[in-house]
Amino acid sequence: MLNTELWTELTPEEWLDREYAIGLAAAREHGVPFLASIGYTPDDLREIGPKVEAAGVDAIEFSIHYLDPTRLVETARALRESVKVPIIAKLTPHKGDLGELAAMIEPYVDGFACINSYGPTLRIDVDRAEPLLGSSLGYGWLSGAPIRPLAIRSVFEVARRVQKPVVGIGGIVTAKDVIEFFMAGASLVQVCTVILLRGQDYYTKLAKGVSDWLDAHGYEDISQVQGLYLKRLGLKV
Amino acid sequence: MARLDCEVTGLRFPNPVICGAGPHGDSAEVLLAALAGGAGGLVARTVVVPDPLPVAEPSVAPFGKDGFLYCQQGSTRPVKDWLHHEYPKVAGPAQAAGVPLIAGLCGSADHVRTWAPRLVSAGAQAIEFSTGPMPWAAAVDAVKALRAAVPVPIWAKLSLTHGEDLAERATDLEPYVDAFVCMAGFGPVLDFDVDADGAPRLSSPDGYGLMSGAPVHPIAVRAVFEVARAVRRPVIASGGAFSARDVVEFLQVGASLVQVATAAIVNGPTVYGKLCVELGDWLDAHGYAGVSDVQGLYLRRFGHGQRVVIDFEEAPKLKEEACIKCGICGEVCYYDAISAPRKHLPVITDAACFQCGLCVTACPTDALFFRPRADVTMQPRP
Repeated sequence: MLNTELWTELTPEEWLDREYAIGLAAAREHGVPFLASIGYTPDDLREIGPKVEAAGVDAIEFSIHYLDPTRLVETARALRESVKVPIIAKLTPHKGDLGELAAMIEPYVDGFACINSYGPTLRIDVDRAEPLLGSSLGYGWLSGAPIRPLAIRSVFEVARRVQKPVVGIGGIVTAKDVIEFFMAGASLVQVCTVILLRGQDYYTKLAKGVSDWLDAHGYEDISQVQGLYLKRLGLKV
Repeated sequence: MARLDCEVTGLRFPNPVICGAGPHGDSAEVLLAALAGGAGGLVARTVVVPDPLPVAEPSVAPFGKDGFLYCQQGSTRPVKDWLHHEYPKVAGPAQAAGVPLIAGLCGSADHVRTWAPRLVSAGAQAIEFSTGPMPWAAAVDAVKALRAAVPVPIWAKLSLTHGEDLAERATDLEPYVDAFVCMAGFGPVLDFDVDADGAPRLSSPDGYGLMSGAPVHPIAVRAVFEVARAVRRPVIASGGAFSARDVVEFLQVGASLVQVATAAIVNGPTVYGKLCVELGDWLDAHGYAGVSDVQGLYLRRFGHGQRVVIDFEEAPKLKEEACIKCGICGEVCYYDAISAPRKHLPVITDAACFQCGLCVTACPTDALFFRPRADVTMQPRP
């Protein structure tokens, strides 16, 4: 899938006044953690972070697209100094070793999430010689199955460098893809594109598939496959 | 029947679907098969001078639908074999067929100075220089040395392996080369065999590789467009062309030729001719007289951007006859704008629609569509 989505189209006020409460109530009912995602500048995070924390969320993910080390550290510190709940830095890939960037902000965060959609990329409507998307040049950011090898590499690079947990994101379609992220060092995975395309019931199917795979391969617990690829290469025990 | 022939960097190609550098062009035998299969040009596999790069097996693994991961760079065949055995067998038949033969080459300035003229003597009508495997400054030096060493056209193949700005790189090289090839494999990426306890698929350090084929196509289309916007010289596309529509897409965003690699490995050497038949049919069906009529069409219209329309005034429309009433559009709509119980035609509430396009994407039969946009800004290139 290609997208030109940036952030939620709801305002922070709408989230704070209504949406978080609904989401939190459902999460509490089902016994699952509820995380908020916020951005973007250090000032934004200082302002919005405490409000989101006060709304009762269990953790906050913040997305950083820039790769400049000073700005990266400044952003992570700004949120760290503003809230007490765990914070997760969502990193953008594809320039050098992502582990190096992660290590720079490790003192300020509780975990990492890799990766965002990759871009810019382009597909066009050849019958009309027109863009498929409404962005200026028709550019969009690529997500789904094609970016999984890039995401796996990114998770691997971060996981081998840092001690804190890594959340894997990028192109999960099958239960085996989930296992691959865990083997590359992930402690959790996120899914987006596959849910958009297949509907909300797919989480249950995917989780069942992961459980079946573990059973079929003689594992009792998903933690047994976590980091297996790193261990294989002698990188982490 | 639309004309497929074209002239690029002073060479005449019977069609724009050419054999790109890869294992499907790693010997005289397979190059001759590509020639017989209808390739409009032949880029022999990259010869690394003075010696092939070491390679450990496995060096290639399938990925997804029509994709590969690989870690081998260039031919394992020494340059002397190419000069004495492979080129002499291909050059004659290629020339007789009017199909240009291009030598893939990679090496430092000193080495290309020595070997490039010999490749030309052996029958190469152009040199495609791979910039990927070396530091950028060394690649620029090698390209300059190449320019001084041979009179034939030089194509520079660009790589996207560390977030490089390909337009900037092409601009750096433009004074010394005749064309750009976008792009070499994308990466580095990692994939391993989950069922074998995480055994690496490739023998490279950490199991890293580059990706080719269908998964990289949207990346390659953007790379071609980006470079074509930045330079005056022709751009040759490479990256996951599997259908005539993919070829047309590359041509429309600015490519002058399209290299086929992964599709030739997956589907065999007859793929070139099949793509050309499809391409001819597509051009005929759309009323184009030849390849040049579609070349750069998107580039000229959108190379300077379109007006960004944030509020479409209309939600997607339904082609009722194409709808199979599967209900997917209703399931994927996050704005409660589509009511689509299975076995019923969907009902779209325009006022609730965010025009995100997800239902259009998810529809398995293309029954949903946005109206053709009437208000795009058309700015011809200066």
